[in-house]
Amino acid sequence: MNDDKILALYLERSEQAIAETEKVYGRYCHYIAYTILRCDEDAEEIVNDTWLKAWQVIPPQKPNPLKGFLGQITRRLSINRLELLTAQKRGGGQYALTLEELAECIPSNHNGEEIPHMAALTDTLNRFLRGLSADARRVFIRRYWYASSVSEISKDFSMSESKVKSLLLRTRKKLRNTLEKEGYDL
Amino acid sequence: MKSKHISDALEGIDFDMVEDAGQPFYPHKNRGTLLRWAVIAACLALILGSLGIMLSLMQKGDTPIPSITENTEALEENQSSDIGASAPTPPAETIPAESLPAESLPEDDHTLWVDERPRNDKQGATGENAIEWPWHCLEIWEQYVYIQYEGVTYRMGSASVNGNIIGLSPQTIGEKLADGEAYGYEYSTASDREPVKRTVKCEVYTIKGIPEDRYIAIKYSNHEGYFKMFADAYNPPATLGELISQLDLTNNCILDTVNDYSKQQFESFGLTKESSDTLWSMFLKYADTAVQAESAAQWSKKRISFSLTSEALGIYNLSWSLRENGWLVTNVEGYGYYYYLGPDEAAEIMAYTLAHKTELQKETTYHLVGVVTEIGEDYIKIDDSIMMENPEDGIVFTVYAGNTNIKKYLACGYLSVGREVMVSHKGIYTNEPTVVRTATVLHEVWIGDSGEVWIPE
Repeated sequence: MNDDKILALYLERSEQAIAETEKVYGRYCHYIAYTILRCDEDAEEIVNDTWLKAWQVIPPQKPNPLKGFLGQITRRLSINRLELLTAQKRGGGQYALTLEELAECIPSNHNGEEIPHMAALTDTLNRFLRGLSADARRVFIRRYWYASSVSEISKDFSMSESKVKSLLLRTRKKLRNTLEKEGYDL
Repeated sequence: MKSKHISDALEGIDFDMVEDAGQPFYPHKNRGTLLRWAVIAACLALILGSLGIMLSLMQKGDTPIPSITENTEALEENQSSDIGASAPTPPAETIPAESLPAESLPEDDHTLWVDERPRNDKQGATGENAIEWPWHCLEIWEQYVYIQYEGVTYRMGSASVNGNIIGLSPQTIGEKLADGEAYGYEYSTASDREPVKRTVKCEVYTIKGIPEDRYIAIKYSNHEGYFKMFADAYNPPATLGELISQLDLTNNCILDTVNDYSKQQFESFGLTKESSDTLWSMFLKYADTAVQAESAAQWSKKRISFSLTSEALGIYNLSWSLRENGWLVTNVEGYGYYYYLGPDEAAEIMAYTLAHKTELQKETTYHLVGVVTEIGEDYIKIDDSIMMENPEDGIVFTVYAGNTNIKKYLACGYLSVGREVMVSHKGIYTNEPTVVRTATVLHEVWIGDSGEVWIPE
């Protein structure tokens, strides 16, 4: 079933909407949740929460693409859950490591307490990522959006782990330079 | 700005880049797809081995409890209430049969043919493939699954694996109790129609060593084979010792297959009969442990699960799961039973188990993926060119239905020429290199836009 038909089910408030969403995107969302949480039980809960969230906001929202919308929800819920689990000393995953790595991208003279304008930062990241080679972009997003491990990225993209690490390191440096140029060090 | 801000901002980047980067099953070159397929399909074979894919443990009132699940990267499904096996090892290399002149092959050669043809980089994803079969496509033990005896309703236990009957061994059958009438419900696809009750004559027997208020055996009229029925009421034995002795588990079930979820990486391994005997005696140290309500049980991610299979009891791949937090959970009688042994006690048993692991003795499962080119009365033909790096290496295989779900597909007319399917099987023999007589289960699949192979849910 395509997105238009699935969205129509949401608009009709048909319970079939959830079933069809799960059929088409269940696997994808589970992957996102599991990669961050590394626990199937938690991942399943997050996926179910994603369907609930989608049900709550559609309508009035009519997301396009639906897959991206659901993926974002799942990622956000997964990260929130991970933060909760971390506070309770449970759970695992690569997410914490990715935050440590991304810290290298923060410009050197930046005031750590200042909260950036998120929309502007997202816009900067979009332009930055579009300017990368395809390999560098895929590896970077796979690492920092999906929180996949270096090992997983290496296997799935048929690269050596050293190449993955090298790509990530160079890209983080480039991102730091970009953020400095765009004034995020003020 | 903190790194979390960058991570949060990444969330809103253009989705086409996210999708491009994050295909969970990303086509790539020069990988061991056979191994990955083996992982996926070995688990799939175990999943679908159980009738109805036992994902939940039922309590009185038919309230399902949370399923004991965990996924590996390959999204393995449940073996009863736990995850399936590790990847089978590809067999040793032999010369592909098609390269040998037919007359050079001995007639009764049962050497397994090894497929060495270069395959493309399509990968797969698993999903559940539970189909609601029409009544006329079901086997008799799938149709008439209930019986009333002495005021108690009994229902069918695990009777088949992938359509292959396991039933009860005649040696386990005791005395005849009565003539009876088994029944089942034919459900209509029309939502406004009530299910229709269907009945068939049968004979009721005891099962040796098993109390008849818990289990009976039935034999359908005009049908060979005995099938276990268990009392359809939540009535757990009061103690762990009673459960073990009532089912004579120490003799009927060898704890020789273990799924280890106690570490980051899931692992399956075997145990010897001696280790199994020791483990039963360890469990029996806690024979006086009282059964607990499901609500009292605490979940724990770290656990080891023993697979319970017994011809005498007519059970296949049920779960005996010991959790790090001390809870023992089992669905050996179809309902969830919970016993609290204690974390130290559980640790001792888990440590013994892990210290005595052996190679898992399992049959290798192979997989044939391709397009249906012909449908016969009891066979289908599958062309696997689509999976070959060079399509000209493709072979058209004749797959016999046997007692698998392929029979149901053929009986219901659910397959059509041109449909993409995956057939799991136990091997192709060199004396019939284009024939599959060992099929266990068929799945419909489809090839996605990016070349990945999906098994629909």
